Amino acid sequence: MTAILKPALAPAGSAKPAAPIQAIFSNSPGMPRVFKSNFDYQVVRAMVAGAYGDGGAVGEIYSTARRIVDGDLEGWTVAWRDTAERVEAIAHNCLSGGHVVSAREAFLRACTYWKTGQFYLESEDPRQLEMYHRHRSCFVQAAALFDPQIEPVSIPYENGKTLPGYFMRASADGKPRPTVMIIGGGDTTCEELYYWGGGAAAVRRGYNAFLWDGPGQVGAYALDSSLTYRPDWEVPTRYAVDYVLSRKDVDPERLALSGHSFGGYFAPRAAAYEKRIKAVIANSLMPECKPILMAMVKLDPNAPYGKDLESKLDLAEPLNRLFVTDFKDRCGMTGQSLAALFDNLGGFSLAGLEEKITCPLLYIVSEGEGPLVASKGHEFYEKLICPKTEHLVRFMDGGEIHCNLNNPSLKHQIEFDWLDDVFKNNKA
Amino acid sequence: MTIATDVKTKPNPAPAPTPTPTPTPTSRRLAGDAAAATASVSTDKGTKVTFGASAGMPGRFKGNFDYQFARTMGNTSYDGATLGECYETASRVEDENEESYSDGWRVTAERVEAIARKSLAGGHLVSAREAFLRASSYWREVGFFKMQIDPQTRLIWERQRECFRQAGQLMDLPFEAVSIPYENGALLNGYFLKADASDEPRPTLMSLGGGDTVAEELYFLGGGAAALRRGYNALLFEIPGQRGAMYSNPDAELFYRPDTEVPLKYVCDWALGRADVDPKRLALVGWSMGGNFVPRAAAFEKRIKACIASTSTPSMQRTMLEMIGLPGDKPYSRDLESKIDLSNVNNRFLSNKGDIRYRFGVGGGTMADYMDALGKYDLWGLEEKITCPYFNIGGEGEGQLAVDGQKFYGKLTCLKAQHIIATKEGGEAHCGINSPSVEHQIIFDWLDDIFK
Repeated sequence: MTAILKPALAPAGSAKPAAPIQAIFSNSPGMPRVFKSNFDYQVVRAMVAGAYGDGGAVGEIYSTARRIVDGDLEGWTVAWRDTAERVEAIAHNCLSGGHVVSAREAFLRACTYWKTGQFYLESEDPRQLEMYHRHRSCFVQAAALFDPQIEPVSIPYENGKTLPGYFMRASADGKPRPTVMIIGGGDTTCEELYYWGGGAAAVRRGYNAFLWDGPGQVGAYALDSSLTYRPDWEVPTRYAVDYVLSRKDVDPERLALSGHSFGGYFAPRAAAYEKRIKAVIANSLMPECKPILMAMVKLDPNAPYGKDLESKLDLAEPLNRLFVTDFKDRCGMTGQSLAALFDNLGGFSLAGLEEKITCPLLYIVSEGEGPLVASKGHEFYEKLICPKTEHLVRFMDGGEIHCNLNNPSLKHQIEFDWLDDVFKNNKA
Repeated sequence: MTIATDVKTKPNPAPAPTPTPTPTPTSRRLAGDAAAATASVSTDKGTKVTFGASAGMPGRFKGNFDYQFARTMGNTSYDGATLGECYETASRVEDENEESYSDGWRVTAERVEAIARKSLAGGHLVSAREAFLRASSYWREVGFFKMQIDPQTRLIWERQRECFRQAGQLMDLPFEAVSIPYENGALLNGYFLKADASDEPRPTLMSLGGGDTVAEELYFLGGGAAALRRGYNALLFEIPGQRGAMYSNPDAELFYRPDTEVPLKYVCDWALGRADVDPKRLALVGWSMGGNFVPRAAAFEKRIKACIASTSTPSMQRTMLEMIGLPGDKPYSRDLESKIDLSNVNNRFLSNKGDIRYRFGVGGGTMADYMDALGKYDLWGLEEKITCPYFNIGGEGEGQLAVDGQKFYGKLTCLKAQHIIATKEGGEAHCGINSPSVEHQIIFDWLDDIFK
């Protein structure tokens, strides 16, 4: 079976980027431009709260953002916390009055705002865990107000540990449906995969969705700090697939895995070994995490580094700070040097797996992620021998940012139209 | 600020006062980045009427384009836009240049409509529906600042309607494009969206726009989609003077009329002729100028069991004068043409002879004639005639308009409630367009309780 689709439309020439391209995050035309730092990307991410058809409130986000000075991490936390509290109170108010839809939408927005406010916090800050739990709790409360309900699950993992997730049924009729397992990347929780990861989009299209966190991801680590990132992602995936295939409402012939950001490494890696996965989506492809993440924090990926790498990192950029604090912890590298962290990330490589991936693969790459990400991804894609499709989301498409966060509808159209075609002949 | 009178809906928690954004002691400012990259946005003090530049707004443009931009972005709440498509389009639009605005949106509308057609051809129905909904929004923007009398505007209007109807055909719930019989054989166009496929009587929200809305847009900002998910039917409709009503009846010269109870009588006749409409739970909401049309209709049409004005607009003449930067509380001269500043898009749009003014039936007259005509749209004196439950919703970003609306509200004697959305709540713009779900949550929670 081959499933080669053309890009959504023939490219008609790309608009010139407004600013120099950086790796992963850049200031491209489809961005809000409220901030110059990584704050701007996080604002878009907050705007996706409810902006995938669940009742959104961009004004809430603007009015919050306007209380924040760019780069001021404490101001960021305080402003979002304030909005999250207020919107969560609206949700509780609505719920106690029996206004279920209003409550659900407000919980979904509050859920996102808690995560937005928590985003840059470091592990020593007690608010990091507290705000994570508020985030999770809002989603769990919203989940109960869906029809059918979204099911919070804990899936068994190694040594008696568990991984958090949510199962979203396309229908309550129990019939086997195509199912997409969705994971995030280096700074995500499974809750937010509902909005931009494809959870809501799947259900509208008659697919089940399983949103989950693997070890090291924000939710899994918050619930159990012994769960740090590991390169052999087929191991946690095996547990996740065991769980999903234990359900009668999952069609084993139509099981997909979709990975975002750092998940653009995890998903193809898992698919290389876990053959129960019948289709894989990488948004985008991260065949070599080390150079890409070095470029992301504005270090030269080609220059050999010594032990003093810390001094070269510009800590005024909120993302860089997050990288050497919270992200390093979740890699299991607390207390170790930045150089050691990069050495460790060197182990997250897809090199040599090109021919081991045999299921159909969709590779989505975005112009705003910059040339390094695009070239590394394309190089790997070219070596794949499975049925495969590459889709470039351009500046002119207005979905050009990392993981297409500024255009989830377009992202989901690309993903699910492809999956529909791949699965057309796969019914169990 | 919420003043609930008699109705038991719990008000939303009051926001704390907005602090000025200053770096905290632990602040780590970015080198050389003292100011945000965006156009400066003042914290609103109500200096502008109706379309204020407040903190919950995008700040992408300095004038009326920013309101229009937020309005389009607001459609993200109900699948009618995506952020990136809006921002990318804005990056190609020159502020205050109507042609650039139209051309900018045309590129996006064409592209997204093509995605919709491609998904449809491939059998990807949900993707097609979503892209048609977005294309419909974007086509509306292509035509927004164009004049009713320009034949091109009609074609663009048809295109947004076609995309909306295509999306409608792909919705899970029954979707009906309807024509409501009106005087002299004319038909008022609209949409009836059923809360479910049964013929059980359901509460029904009739949604009416204002000076620049069309029935299709009411699916998003007008509460159509919000009604459906809450188990209400929605009737999205237009009355004489509105763009689609005029295009649908090209020979009838269906201009605006102040006695809106007349078209509403026809609309209620039609709605109540349906088995799936519960006559005891029939509500009417009006947006923008609809905040004038709806209270007027409710004063006389007693089959309306609840009404909502976003926002109550008791003096159209005064509001229009202030919207175009002229004093609204003093007599105006007959040579208003010499007084209006046409250097900004807001004033050009509101005063040109070929659009709103034309649709009020005074396209051939002077600005003073236009204001004379608007003088007939006055709600003062009707306060005690409104007897159904009444909800006044406004926003701090509306400035003087929200003040006038609250004055009118204060004089009502019916069961009533009011919510003026604070800037900090982020839905402070005219009609709550920057946060539709906040606006709709407030309205429907109230309506739920009224109809309990």
